[in-house]
Amino acid sequence: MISIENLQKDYNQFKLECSLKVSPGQVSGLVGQNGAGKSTIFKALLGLISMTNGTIRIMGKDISNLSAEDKQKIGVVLNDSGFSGYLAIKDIVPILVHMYPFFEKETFLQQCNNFGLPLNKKIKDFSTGMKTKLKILIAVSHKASLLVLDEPTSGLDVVARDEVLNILREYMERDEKNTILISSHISTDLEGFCDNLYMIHDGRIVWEEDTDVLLSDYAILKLSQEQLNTIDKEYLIKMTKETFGYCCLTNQKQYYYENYPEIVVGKGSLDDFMFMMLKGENL
Amino acid sequence: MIGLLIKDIKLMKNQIVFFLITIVCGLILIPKQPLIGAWLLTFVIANFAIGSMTYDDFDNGNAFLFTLPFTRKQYANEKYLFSLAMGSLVWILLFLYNVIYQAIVNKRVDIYEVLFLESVVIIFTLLMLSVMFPIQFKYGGEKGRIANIAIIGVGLIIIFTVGNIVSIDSVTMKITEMMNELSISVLFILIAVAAYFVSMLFSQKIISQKEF
Repeated sequence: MISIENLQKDYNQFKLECSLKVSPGQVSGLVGQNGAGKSTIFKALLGLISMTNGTIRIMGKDISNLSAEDKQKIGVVLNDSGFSGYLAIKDIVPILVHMYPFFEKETFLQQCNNFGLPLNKKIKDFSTGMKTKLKILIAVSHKASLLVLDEPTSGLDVVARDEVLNILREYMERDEKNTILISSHISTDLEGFCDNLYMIHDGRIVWEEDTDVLLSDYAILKLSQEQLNTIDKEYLIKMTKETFGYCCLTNQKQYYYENYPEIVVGKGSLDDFMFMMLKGENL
Repeated sequence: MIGLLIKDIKLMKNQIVFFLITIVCGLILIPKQPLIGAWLLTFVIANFAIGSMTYDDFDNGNAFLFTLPFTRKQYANEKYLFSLAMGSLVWILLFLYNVIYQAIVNKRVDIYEVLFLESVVIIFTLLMLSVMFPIQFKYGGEKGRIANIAIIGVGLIIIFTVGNIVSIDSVTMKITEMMNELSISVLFILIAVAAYFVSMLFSQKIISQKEF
């Protein structure tokens, strides 16, 4: 569905270099710190910025050749941009009706009502949560086969984040070929939602893994100096020094469970793994 | 394209009071100061066309807008089309007003005089927008708007200065004499239309290279 090959974008003090693939029917997550390059990838993908080098294809087509009809199949949420704040939802509806032949007007209005979004109020007067919900509802309202969502849960409280993720889950259930590329710096949002994850750091993809593998095989080992000296390090990826000893990231949890029953094997969260990947030393 | 036009019309509602006040001022001025009145109407049309781009850009709105299903070329074309539609609306209003005004006040309708004013507005508007649009496409948002307001201001200063030196009536007469020659009027209009078209091509090029 999405293929990014050797994308390069040079800014004065930042360089993006990455490749990634998102298959049809898949939810792929892009995680990374603020300023890591997530939004730059999205902007390049959506043709909002030029590329220094590389190729980006969406639905098999080079993005420079995407027609208006192709764009009708893509729903977009950008964290820092949306319909003009001087418009109200009732103004947006006829715009969407004319832009998207498959716009589901009744469902959209019903969902706006369900989420308590006023039709006559200008968007600039909406709260952050209301604006985000509106963006998501627009993105899923026109039978898009691909959603490109840049930080859609940013600035939302836990309840609102859950509501947004539920809308997205419903979208994925509608058609097995529906596909999502989503970014967030709140990794817990992505942990239970994505099929696979890409981690970006300083403009490069530093890690790619299926979420199932991540949750079943990865773990944080807590080791003393002595344990670190004697343990088999073949499956240790990163290490950090702690006050009690060492934390090590492994992608072979079971191996250490079985062979070193005396060591503490912490389950760890995606945040822990991210921290280890970004701040840990190589072994 | 229709979706974009609807968007601009909906956004226009935010400026409707200003729009109406300026049109009324323009129409009041026209019988006594035809050139300034015509200039004011030109300003209204231009301000709306440019204003719609400022609204698009508000709060980084362009980034999302350009993910919607239209091409950048279509966006540029729509702005020029929207301006033409706005211009036509003002043009029709001006025509009806002049005919009714002359019929009531002068007890007769001088269709040449009406058409002269209409021609001046068309030429002013097309030339003005031909300059303003590429500037707005290039610089966007408030920067472009300020540059364009400066252009309008300079235009007004030139008109007033020329008016003070030569007197507006004599300038009007001079232009009237020229424009009364149908062929010259048509020539000026054709030049303005050509400038508008060339300007649209420039704007297409500018917007196609822009990053959001």
